[in-house]
Amino acid sequence: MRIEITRIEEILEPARRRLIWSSLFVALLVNVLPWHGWALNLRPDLVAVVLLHWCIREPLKIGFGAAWVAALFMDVAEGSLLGQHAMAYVILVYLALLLSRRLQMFDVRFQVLHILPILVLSQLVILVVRLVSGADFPGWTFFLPCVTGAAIWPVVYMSLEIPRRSRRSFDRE
Amino acid sequence: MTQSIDTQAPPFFRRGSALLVRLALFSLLSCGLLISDSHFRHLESIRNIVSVALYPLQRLTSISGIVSSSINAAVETHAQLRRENTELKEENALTSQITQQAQALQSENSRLRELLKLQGQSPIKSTAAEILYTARDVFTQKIVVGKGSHQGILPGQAVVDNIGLIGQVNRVHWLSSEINLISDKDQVVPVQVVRTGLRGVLFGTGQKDFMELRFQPANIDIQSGDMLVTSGIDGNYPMGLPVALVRTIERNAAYAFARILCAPAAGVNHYSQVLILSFVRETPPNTLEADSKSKKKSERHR
Repeated sequence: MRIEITRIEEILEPARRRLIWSSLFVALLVNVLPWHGWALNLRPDLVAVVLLHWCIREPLKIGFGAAWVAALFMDVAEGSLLGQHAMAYVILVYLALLLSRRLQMFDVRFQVLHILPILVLSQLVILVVRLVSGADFPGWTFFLPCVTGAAIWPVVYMSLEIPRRSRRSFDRE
Repeated sequence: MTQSIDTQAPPFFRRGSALLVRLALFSLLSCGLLISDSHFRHLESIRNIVSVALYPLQRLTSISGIVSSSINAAVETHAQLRRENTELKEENALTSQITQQAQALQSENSRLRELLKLQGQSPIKSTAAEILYTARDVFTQKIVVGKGSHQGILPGQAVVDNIGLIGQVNRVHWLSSEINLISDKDQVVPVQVVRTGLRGVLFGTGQKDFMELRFQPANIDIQSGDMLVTSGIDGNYPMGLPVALVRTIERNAAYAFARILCAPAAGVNHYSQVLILSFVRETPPNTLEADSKSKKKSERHR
């Protein structure tokens, strides 16, 4: 059996904690931007996407604790039930940590196929929590943020790797 | 020289406790948060602390709005500005006339109330607040504004824009507060039809474009286009704020009540500044409650 190496993995500098936290901060900032009209239904949960990225790329440096704190901030920012995002992000982080080795083998395009179901599942957790606490089903547009979240995955993936490229690899190019 | 390979990972590959254990631990913690928040409301202090930490972030996001509006201002042409200026002047002339009439009416009203020995209407204080963002939660209709308990905002106060009522202050943090829009599913506004004086209760539906006037008989005198204003009965909202316009009326003999759908009068979705009204009305004590309490007391004495 021959294993074909389709792409040469670039060696990146290890992510600094500062980078991880500041990227989460920027994601939170984008999430609370004043959106209007139809964009309100489409806007992806950037915090979830960034969390996914770090859990897959640096599973040793980030985990449930960071996700939980980020979720607390999301809940307060949105005025939703405290713990609703925590529940969703905990599931999300679990799946990402479980699949991190496997996902690193894939190309970005194929990673999207994994990201979408993970995002849908975490959104489903939010839906279940709210339905149990007595809300109405808000319609299928509720799942649109998962699709847009998966769509921006390649962009997030690439842009979070830029600061980790070492100077030497830039010189080689 | 062969060495048996240890099946256990060497210590430098260990990843803390097992993944499943951590999953269980953190989901239990989240469940605890959910239950204590939804049933007991113990966590308002945590919410407050986090909201103060969030405040700089919220301020930062409102900068984006300022940037976009300044770009708009730079792009706007001279002709546009002049047209807008003339429009505003016309509007100003019209409103100043109305204000003069209103002043005369108000003094007349207060005199009449004095003559009839009715309770005078207390003055309404208003605080202008800037909308920071629309909450992302699709299950509720909420906006977040940049004034909080530090500026004297209290839960339950009415929130209006330049046209009419848009909502009610729900949760107050130190520097910001959440406002439930009148179209929120849990929001109820006591209203009055301007044309007929009929009182009713307007329910939000969770959809931003319409609300429902419930529990009105099928033969009610109402037309599409009727204006609904706050009746002021509950003591939460001042009297006479425009709330909604009647859109469609379905009278079905099979049901006891008519289905009356209304559209919000104020721009529930497009504004950037709102006014929060602080309004204190001394309501007489609830006689029913007082009666039942005194009954219980007398029963105990027996």
